[in-house]
Amino acid sequence: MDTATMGHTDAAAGSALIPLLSHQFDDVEQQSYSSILGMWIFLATEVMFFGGLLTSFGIYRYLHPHEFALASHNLYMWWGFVNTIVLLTSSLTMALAVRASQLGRRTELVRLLLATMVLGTCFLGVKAIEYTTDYHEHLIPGLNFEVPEHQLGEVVERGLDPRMMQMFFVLYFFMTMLHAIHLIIGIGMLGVMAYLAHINWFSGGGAVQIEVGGLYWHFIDIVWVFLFPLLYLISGK
Amino acid sequence: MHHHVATIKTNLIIFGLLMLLLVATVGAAELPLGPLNFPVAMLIAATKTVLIIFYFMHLTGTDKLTKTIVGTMFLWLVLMILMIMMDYLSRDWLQILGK
Repeated sequence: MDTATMGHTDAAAGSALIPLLSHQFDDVEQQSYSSILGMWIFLATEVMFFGGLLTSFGIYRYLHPHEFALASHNLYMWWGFVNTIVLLTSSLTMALAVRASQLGRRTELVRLLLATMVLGTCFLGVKAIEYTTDYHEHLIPGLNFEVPEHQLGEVVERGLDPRMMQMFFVLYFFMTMLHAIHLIIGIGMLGVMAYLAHINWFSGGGAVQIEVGGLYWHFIDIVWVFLFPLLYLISGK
Repeated sequence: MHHHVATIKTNLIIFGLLMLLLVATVGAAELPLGPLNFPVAMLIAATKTVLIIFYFMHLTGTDKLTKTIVGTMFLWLVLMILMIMMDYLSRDWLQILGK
């Protein structure tokens, strides 16, 4: 409740153009819980969105395990590994940003939000390198997909279906691009929050807003935590 | 939220554990586990998710309603995957001609 009283004083001291407590809530705490709850409900819809894609990936992988394993070997596992480190680190800076906002340390908060944005951008950079390599190696389904030469022998020998190798890349690009779009939105969101924190816009100190933003960011991280082993680590052993 | 602020130490420990689990995922993929490779990878990913949800997303600090919603979210996800995979996995069990 400290934040609440502090916020009230702030709002009273400032011009109070934006009231700290919206009229439909009993108190600031209930208002905070509603914000958190609202974000989680949105994330639940996102889980079903990504979940549907993961399910279709699971079905195709179950039906065509050899094609999927062979296609997956064309991805560069170490890029995915590096990107996982980058994204997990961004989750750490995000968690520390939430902490800074709770403690009311504005400069630290802005710096940590900017660090999170930089790490998110690094992730997208690595993804761009990977996509470019995929393009040069003729792995883009519908555009230039060809079974790589060194895998042709195995495909013929084992009677594998090249269309199902292409299907792996359809799902790979769909899921990673959808993930990247979420990340781009997340980076933009953090940019807005960093700016608002910088100009001291939040009447209540911004702890709840940053926490809600953090929930979204960590969700993006969790999606990648599943995508990395599913797409990059299909073992043929 | 208002309850308590996680220390930097806690955050760093969780980050360290996540890094260890990442190395474990890559290591497990190299092991000749056969059909167990996939469940092991998913188990590690689920453990990472639990760490992130409880420590970075502060689920323990929220109210019961939010916890119920989060639980229900995973219930629906598991139901969707389970029900659909039950169909695909069991299709060959009965040898019905012309199926």
